[in-house]
Amino acid sequence: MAFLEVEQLGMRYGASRVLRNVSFSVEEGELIAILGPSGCGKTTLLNAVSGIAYPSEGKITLSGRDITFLPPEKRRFGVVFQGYALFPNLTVKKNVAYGLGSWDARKRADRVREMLELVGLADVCYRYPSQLSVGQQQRVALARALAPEPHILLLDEPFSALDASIRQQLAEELRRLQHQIGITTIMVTHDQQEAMSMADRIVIMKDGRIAQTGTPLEIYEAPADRFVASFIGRMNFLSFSFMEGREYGIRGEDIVVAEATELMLSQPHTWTAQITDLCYMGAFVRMELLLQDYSTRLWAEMSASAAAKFKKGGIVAVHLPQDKWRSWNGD
Amino acid sequence: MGRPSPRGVLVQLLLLFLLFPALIYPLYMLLVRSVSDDEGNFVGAANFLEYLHSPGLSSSFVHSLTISITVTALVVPAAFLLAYGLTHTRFSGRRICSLLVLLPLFVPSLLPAIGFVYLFGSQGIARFLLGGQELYGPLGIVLGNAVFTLPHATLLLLTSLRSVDSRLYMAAACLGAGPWRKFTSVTLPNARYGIINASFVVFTLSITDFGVPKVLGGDYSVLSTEIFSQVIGQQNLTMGALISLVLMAPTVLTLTLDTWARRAHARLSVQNARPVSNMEQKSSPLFGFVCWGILLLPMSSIAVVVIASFTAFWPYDMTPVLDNYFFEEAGYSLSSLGTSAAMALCAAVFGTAFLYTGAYLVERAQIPAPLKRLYRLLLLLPLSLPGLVLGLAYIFAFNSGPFSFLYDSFAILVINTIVHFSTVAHLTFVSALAKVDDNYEKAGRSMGVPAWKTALRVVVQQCRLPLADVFFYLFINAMTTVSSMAFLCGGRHTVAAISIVNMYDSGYLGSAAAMSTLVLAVTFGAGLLHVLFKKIVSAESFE
Amino acid sequence: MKLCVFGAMLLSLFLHVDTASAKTEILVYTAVEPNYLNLYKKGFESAYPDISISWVRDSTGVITARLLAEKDAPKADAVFGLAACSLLLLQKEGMLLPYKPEGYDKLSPRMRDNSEEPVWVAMNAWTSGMAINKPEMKKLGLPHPKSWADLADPRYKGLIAMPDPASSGTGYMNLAAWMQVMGEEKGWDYADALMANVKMLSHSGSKPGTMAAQGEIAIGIGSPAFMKPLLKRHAPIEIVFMEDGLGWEAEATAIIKTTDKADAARKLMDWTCSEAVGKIAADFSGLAGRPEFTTSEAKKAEELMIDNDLQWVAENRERLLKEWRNRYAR
Repeated sequence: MAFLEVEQLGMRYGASRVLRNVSFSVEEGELIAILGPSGCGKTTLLNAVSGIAYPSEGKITLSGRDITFLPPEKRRFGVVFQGYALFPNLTVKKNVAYGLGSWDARKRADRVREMLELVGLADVCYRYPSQLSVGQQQRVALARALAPEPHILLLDEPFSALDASIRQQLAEELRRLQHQIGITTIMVTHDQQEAMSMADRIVIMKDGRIAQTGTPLEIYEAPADRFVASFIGRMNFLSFSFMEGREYGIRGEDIVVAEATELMLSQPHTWTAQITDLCYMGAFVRMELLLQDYSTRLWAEMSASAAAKFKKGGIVAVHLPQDKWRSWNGD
Repeated sequence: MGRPSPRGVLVQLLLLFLLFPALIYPLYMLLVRSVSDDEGNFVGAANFLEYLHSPGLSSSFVHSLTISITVTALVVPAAFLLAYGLTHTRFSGRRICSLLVLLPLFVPSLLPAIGFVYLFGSQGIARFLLGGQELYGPLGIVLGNAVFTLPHATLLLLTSLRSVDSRLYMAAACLGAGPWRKFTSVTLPNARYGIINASFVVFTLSITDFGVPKVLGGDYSVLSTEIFSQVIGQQNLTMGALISLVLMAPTVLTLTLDTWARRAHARLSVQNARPVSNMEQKSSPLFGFVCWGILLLPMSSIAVVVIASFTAFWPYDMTPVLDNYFFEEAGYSLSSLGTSAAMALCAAVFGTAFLYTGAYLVERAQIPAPLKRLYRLLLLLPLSLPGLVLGLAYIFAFNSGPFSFLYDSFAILVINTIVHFSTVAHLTFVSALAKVDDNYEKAGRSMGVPAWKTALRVVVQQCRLPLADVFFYLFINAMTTVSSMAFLCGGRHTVAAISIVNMYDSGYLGSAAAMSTLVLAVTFGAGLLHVLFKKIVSAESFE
Repeated sequence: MKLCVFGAMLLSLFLHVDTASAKTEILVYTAVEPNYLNLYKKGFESAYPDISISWVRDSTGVITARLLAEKDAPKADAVFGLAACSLLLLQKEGMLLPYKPEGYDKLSPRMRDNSEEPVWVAMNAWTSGMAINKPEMKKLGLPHPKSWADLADPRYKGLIAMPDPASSGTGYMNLAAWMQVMGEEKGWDYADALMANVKMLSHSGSKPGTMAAQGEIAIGIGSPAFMKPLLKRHAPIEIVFMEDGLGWEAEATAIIKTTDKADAARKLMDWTCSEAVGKIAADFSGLAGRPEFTTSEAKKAEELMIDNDLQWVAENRERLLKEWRNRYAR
């Protein structure tokens, strides 16, 4: 039995159904990312899990106990909200201590110190939230959520307010922390790179439904449908007349681009193409290719050194190795 | 800041120039009169000493303070309960309740006071509720002031409570906080400034009001009736001037304290706070009972006046008649209503234009900082100026001297009203303009369009809602103000509010009730127009 | 563009409201009761069709204060129906133009300025009186008071409302009457006794009467002239003249010295002594300036009127009021 089980969850808001038939499970100690574009229902799902909203259908169980309609005060889940919701009138120290009201005073002080040291903010404990940077606020929110020893940690878009440079650093820190403490974590995000880099497993959502659940590798290698394929990484969609019922695509890094020699072009699934655009992306080069049918466009990715010999406008051979084709059922 | 724009500086100087006769000069004359004797010779503090030594005069100060503090202590908690009920809970009739809260804003302060006479006077139908206490005197003034200050306090607290981010409640819940803990650790601390601000506003409104003590004060003298009696009853304008200054002491003090508190609060304010949504509010019949209960008093006091306006002679002859609506016998006519409406319209139009321009120049135009600071400072003054004092200052300023052509004119009523209500209007515009993207003018200039054109074509459009808000604020307040008109009317022009006071005094109670009802009808109509306008504007934009 | 047109319209409204009419218009300050304003105006304008009156009406105290405030640059052309005592104050400031109107001799001596160069003439006099609410007194089971002495009787404690001498002309009229009749020492004793019974002082002279009419108070001291309209409106009151002497004031007319419409103002003075005014006076208080119009009921009141030295009343006002405040300020 999994630690947290979400079964057939449905949520209605007025006449529209925001969540339908959502089911997944979370093992103890896992970090699950709920990933999806805006409006897919991921925050609503988080609200249902945290107890802030009650679902219209379905069940949520924690270690076998049904907690679907348990109020948030009793659930003991730590939540970090979008915008952090730090109490503006309380110091950092008091914010972190907020959930420890029933604790013995000495233990409370110890725990607060422990948490602040964990997130590296022990020296600002007497400041107010408005006096902290965004990154610091996020850490305080984390410390506060973790202080009461919750069963599960829930994070709602924890990095959306941060600059790109801090984001990566904090993401790594969070991952390290989560491993260190071993707390089961559910993280909601719209950023697939974040999800891929941090999560043990990913739940991808679209329009209130789960599109696919799996490890980052599984999702990347074997996307379940067109949406997942395009949402995770970049996918070139292939449409050839001899394929029916199933859709095919190939990742940019799997495309082989070579000199247009006779030998190359005699290989199966190889065509000539013109390089219509070349973008130097730092670590790699992205190339836009127009196939000989003058309609199919592909994006290929390769290392800078491999791309060195090609120029924009040049004619090349493009080989799509069949074993690298990904496929899924068409709509 | 770039080069100062000559057009902008010119307009700003013009505005400041207009403020001189409208505000600075009258205040100066008031000050001069308070330290002179009747012949105009400078006597320093002699008048003030005389004030301190006459027991009757100085007791009015204590009375005013007592009443205003009592009113504040009663109204702010009641307003808080109302505001909390309306923002954090659901109960039946909540939307109507939130509209009815505003009703006393649409009538002169003495309308509910007259209603109290009908309800709690010697012949009052609810007299028993007072338990033998005398209505005329401190009790009556407290009740009357409570009714007309309640909506102001409630509106302020509504805004304050709405600005509490609902995510704070969610965070508190997830950390195990129960309802009481949520209230003390989230609601109250974030509403602190709102409570302070509401207290100061209620205090100031209560201490400066003239209409209520005039009707219900009986023998209990307060500063505002004292000023009136000095100037009118004893023709002692000098003492009137002095007491005006005494009245300004608490109002200036509360304004200063409030400004200080607002700055301290800025530290706490959260951007983009999400107010508590419908789904999150708990259904609470208890709050419904409390809120409707609180509203019972103001509603009944207004309703009884409307009903009484249609009776022949309350309480001895209750046959329904329309006679009270023919004012000739009371010595007035519908023309005072017309004067009110015309004045209110002019005040609304010119006031909105003037104050918007001023706020725009101060917030967004390229003008030297000292000019801006001066304008801001000047516009803060009227908030601490009681209407009665402003009216008296105008008498001093415009009776003789360079501006005497304004004396007893229609213009002076309009100008006085605009000045009296200018601070709130100005602050409304300032906060509205701050929300408008400040790159519009720059974008225009880069396309060759001068800043002032962009200001008119684009920025004004963005401010349609606040412009309408201020327009109707000025209109409705102009229709209902009593204090500022008390000294300026009785000349060639009388406004409806003053005719109500006079008719009541002369015994034409029914006529007073009738005119009050007509004023209510006009302001109510204006309120409907306002709501309509807001609906149209919101439908057009995508906000 | 539309905005400019609208603005121009409003501006013209703004300025237009003050424009004068074609006839000679005189600005007349008055304290006459509101329901008589139209009557007086119509009467005067039909007698003198080329003059029109523009009233500025308020209670005695207000008008007097206004005139004094404007003394350096008076706006009024004439004063009509203001308490004679106030006119004396104005005369002291040198604000009035002397004129002996036509019909001056037809007035009784009490009703005009008897100096060499008279400045005022009165159209009527009005006296003290009380309004007693009949149902209330019946509930209390008390007899109606008939005199000032009665009013000081402790059994009427808390039942009386009275105009405040400090702010009301009627109130001061009463105070001055007590002082003149009883002498100052006994007068203040009386005031102490009466004030012990007074529940409420009002700013306006007519309010105690209206309070009695509405049943807010049992006994309202004021002037019967103000109380008549209340009777017309079915108020259950009895109007009583104090048997031991009535204070009184005259409603008088005078010309403001600085007026540029002196001729028109003089005609107003003339008209004050006319029959038309006498008839209106009969309706108002019954005590007309011209004795032949005094009604028979009013003659009874006339007998009770005290010897009122208006000059003394005017000169001692400030002093008496100061003493009043010191004694009774609450």
